[in-house]
Amino acid sequence: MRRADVAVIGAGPAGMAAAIPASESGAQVVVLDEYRRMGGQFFKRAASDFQLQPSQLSAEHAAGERLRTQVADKGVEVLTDTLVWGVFDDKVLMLYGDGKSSALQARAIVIATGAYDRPVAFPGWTLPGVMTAGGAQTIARTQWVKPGRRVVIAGAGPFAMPVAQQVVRSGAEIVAIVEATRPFEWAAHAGALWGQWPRFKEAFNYWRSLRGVPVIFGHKIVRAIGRDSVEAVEIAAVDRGWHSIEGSTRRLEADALALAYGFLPNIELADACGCELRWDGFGAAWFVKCDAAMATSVSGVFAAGEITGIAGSAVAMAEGRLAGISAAEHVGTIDAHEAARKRRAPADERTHLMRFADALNELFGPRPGLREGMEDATTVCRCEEVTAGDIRSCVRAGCASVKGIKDWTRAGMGPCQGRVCRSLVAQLVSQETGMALESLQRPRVRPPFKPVPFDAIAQSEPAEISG
Amino acid sequence: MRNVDVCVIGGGLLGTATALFAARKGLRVLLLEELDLAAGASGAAFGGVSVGIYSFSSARVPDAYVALSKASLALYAQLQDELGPPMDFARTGSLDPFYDPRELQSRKERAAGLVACGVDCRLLDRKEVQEIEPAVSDVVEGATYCPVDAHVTPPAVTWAWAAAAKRLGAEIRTGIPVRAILRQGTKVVGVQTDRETIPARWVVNVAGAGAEALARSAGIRMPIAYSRGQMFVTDRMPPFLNTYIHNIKQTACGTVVLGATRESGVRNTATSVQGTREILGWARRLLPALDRARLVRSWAGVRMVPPDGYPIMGKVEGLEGFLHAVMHRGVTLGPIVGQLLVELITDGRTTLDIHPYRMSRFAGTDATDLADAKETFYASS
Amino acid sequence: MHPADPDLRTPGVERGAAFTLEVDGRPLPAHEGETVLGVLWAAGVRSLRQTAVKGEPRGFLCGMGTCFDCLVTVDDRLNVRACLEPAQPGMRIVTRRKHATG
Repeated sequence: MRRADVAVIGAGPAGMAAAIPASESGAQVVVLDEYRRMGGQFFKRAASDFQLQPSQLSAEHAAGERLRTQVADKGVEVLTDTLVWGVFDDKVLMLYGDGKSSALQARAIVIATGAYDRPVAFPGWTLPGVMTAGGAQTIARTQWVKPGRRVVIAGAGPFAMPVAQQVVRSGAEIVAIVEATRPFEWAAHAGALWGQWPRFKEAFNYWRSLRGVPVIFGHKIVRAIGRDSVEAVEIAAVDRGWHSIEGSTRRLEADALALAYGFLPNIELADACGCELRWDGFGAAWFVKCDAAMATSVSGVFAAGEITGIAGSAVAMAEGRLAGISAAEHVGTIDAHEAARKRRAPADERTHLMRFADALNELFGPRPGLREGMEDATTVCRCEEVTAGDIRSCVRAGCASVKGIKDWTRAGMGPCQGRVCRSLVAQLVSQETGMALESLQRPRVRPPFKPVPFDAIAQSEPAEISG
Repeated sequence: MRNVDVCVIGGGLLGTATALFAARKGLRVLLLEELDLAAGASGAAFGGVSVGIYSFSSARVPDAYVALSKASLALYAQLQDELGPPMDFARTGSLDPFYDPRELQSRKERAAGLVACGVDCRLLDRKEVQEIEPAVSDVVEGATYCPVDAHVTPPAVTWAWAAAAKRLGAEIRTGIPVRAILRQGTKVVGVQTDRETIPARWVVNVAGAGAEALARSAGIRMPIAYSRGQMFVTDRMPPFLNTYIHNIKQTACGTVVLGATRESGVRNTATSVQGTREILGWARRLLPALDRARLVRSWAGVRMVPPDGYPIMGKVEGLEGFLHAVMHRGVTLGPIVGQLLVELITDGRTTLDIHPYRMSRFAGTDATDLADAKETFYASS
Repeated sequence: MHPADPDLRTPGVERGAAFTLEVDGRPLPAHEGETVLGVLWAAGVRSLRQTAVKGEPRGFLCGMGTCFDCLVTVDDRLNVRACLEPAQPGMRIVTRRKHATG
């Protein structure tokens, strides 16, 4: 069985940032990522087969390349196209890569598994052409393919801007950016922007590149229309709680709709390791609970990046550094005193950046009206084709737990393992029963963390483990 | 609920079946479940409803047990007709393969014994098995084939029965652990939860993994062994299984459910790497088509195993107002257990013989006996 | 499908070496470095599969391998996520299959 001092799971900003100090300290570090190349979502880029001009590179490109190079230079072992499908007793990671399953025994783990776009359900959301903002960004940035000819981006918060810029660069027309909040609401959080000059610069750059793109404030998506593919969308004006205002619906002709309503953290792996989670009301999600050194409640397991709180790449990198230092401390390649010293700068940076991140979460986190878009016929579990009506009937018949609904309707039993529907099912149960989301949305995670080919596991070499 | 006639402890298949049959008889039923319906073995079980397959310490076929299984199978079909979804009773027939030619004789005896009880059960050689189930590889030596057997999805069935019981007036409360069964002398009078004392004319202990501890609160000693079963399921595959195999089935939506490990004494529900490799490896050798499958989910449950493998059910000698049922075959026997326990309440006797399943047959059984019984149980499976 | 396939690729971008792969029996242009999803979406193929129960068309939702909507058949492999699968010469892709039950 392969061994490592520190296993870093996820090679996005947080994971790459963690690998560097850990490796510099002399620890033997392995970085694992299920994607083909490092970078995660934030630093995703076109394959090297594309020969892009400097003007075609995204703003993050340089920083991403720098991190990748640094990781490579530090002698870190990088296993991409490698899925961690299970974590068993005492930090044994089961990996699937290269067509086979194998075991990796780590002494410390840094979990940096990132986040995915929050699913929002409404009639027509399963039509081809309805995608997440991250998905639109991916097809535009990594494939240089237009998400559609006429694109609507509907969401809340600043993520719509870099996505819009990428979509425009891909050659598509943006029909409108539909933003749920209104600018006057931002004033309440103006104090959080103090000292965040880089954020201003970013915003200004985006605003400049998006001149001419209509922005419709105070509206949300309510419907996607089309036969086999999106042909038009309907938006509605909303109040402060994002509840639709009667009679305010507007139709926009579009063949692609990108949803930018925030993110959900990939906490499954951390949960399966036994890490304590904390509920965040603004983000309506469970996150991994960490102390200032990014230690979780499980000894030797550290977490960094979006799984500790949605806060963007700069915070992710600061947390990554903290976690990498702490992991090195855990395995003994840095002593406690030196670790504390090294952690000061990234900790301060994190504190400073979190002010802004907290303000964004409070301002743009999902509000109650966002959950009210599901009609009875609306598909909720996309994998198993379970509708909101199916789930509502189930609840009314007395089956009011997410697990019970799964048993009864199969919602959550498909290959996405409930990632898309879990929060939506909880929202429906909450609406029907008045129970708080927090009490409903807790996942029970078991291996495999993502689907794994049978023959790979069945043929894996015996691991000297008792778990 | 006031004036509870029947307080059922446990929200699995046995509990919801009992609640349903009791509600049908117009009894005032309160079901108390510690966690959620089907949170225990009923949420994890493979789902075979089988007359033909059983794994007990004797190759000799017990008539009484077959009679119970047959009656239960018939009840399932009836309930499917009456209740519909999410019950998904599928009569596919079952195959119980064996791999070692030395098992042939005991399999012959079993098949003959079942036939003698009026059950259609045939012993097939490899070629015959592959005629029925082309996906099966040459690793099988033969199999017993029982065309009347069926399978269900146990948690879905549990919810269906619970909903039906509720429609008939039963009250079902989840998230309510029962701390003790209350007894006054030779009479059980109710139960104790964290918040209240609930008097009831009858208390039924069908609490699965919690039954033994609850029984102790009433001074009853239940000899139960436990064994973990790990289960797995694939993503959707093109239909390739006609029957179900002990224990592999293809559900209506195309996923293939596989199980189960037999880990004697293990009482947690974790998935292990060894268990995963063992089940997937065996399944692949048996059904090479699974090479194209992907593992999507795993789960595990804990079986309750009385010393001789057969159910414990019925009254407890010398105790009034109390019934219990604990067994390894809760899926197959769920409906008939529900019916028979309620018969004991309304008529004082049962229409099928459950004398062989009285707990007092273990009187004098000590720990060593239990251990031996466990080994025999597994050796013959 | 339209007789003249639209190409949603952004002009003015230098891609990897060009090749074709077969989609539902007909050749589609592809380039080294593209994913199967990129190739299909560029050609206006939006209905990557039909759902198993209701036969509804699905494209992609997340584009990052999380939602399992964009499943296609690649050669003899079922239920492959098009968004993660690198396009390769000689591939035979089948879309609009009811993922593997139909």
